[in-house]
Amino acid sequence: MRLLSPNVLEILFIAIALALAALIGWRVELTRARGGKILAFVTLFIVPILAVGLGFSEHMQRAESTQFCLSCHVMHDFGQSLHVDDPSYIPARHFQNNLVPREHACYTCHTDYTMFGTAHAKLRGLRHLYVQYLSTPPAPAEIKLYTPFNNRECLHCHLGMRVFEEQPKHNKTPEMMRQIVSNQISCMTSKCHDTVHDVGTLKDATFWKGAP
Amino acid sequence: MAEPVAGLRAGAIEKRIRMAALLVCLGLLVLLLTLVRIHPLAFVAFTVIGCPLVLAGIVLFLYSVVSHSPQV
Repeated sequence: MRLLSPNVLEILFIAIALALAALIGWRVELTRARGGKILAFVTLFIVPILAVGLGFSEHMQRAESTQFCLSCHVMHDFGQSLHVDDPSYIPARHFQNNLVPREHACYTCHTDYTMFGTAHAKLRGLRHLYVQYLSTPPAPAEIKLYTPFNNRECLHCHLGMRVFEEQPKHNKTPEMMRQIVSNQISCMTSKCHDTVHDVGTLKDATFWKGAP
Repeated sequence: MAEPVAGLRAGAIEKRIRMAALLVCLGLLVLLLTLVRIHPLAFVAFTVIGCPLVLAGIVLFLYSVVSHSPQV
């Protein structure tokens, strides 16, 4: 686990809130005066609510980071698979070529691009937390997706791309593009892009040294 | 007799406010500490320890304010 360079303004705000609350606790007689009452209301009601809101927002953003996902030991091999020196590994190819933001590499593909997709992904994260700390996590190679990967998650970026839509392999039949878009043909399991994380094969893989 | 009673009540209110401030302080301290590292347990500590402490402090403060109703 690496120390994070914190969002200074948020840290500063919470530190000031802490100092103000400590002042009210230490010099509670200040609240006898009108100004002290207002200060206590701001310090013990408005500012803590804002601090909790800021903290929650910050934690939600952090939950989308690659560092957060890979901080559990069981995810280590999946992190390694992003560095495999083989373009047939789809996540590695995306990660190494900046086709997904490296700091949000996991979340970019493993969130559903639906109305409540981001909330749903975070709820699933809570279940992962339960399994990690209160149950027995499976071996990395045994970890499977809850549901087959939906083309929608790929098409969120690829749909409309010229290299994708004009790719002859995506247009073998006149119907093929429509079938890809409607998820009738899977990008992953139709023997096209079927090398994904494949953590079971990592021991024989070579790794790209260029990634940070 | 009215003044000592009012003084006692004010003392009780100040005690509650001090307690509320302590709870808020502890909660904010946990909040600060959870922001030091990116880790799922930091998020758990934030939601399970930090937030309840801050919210308990806020509730206690509000209670101390509304319980201080002037005698008619």
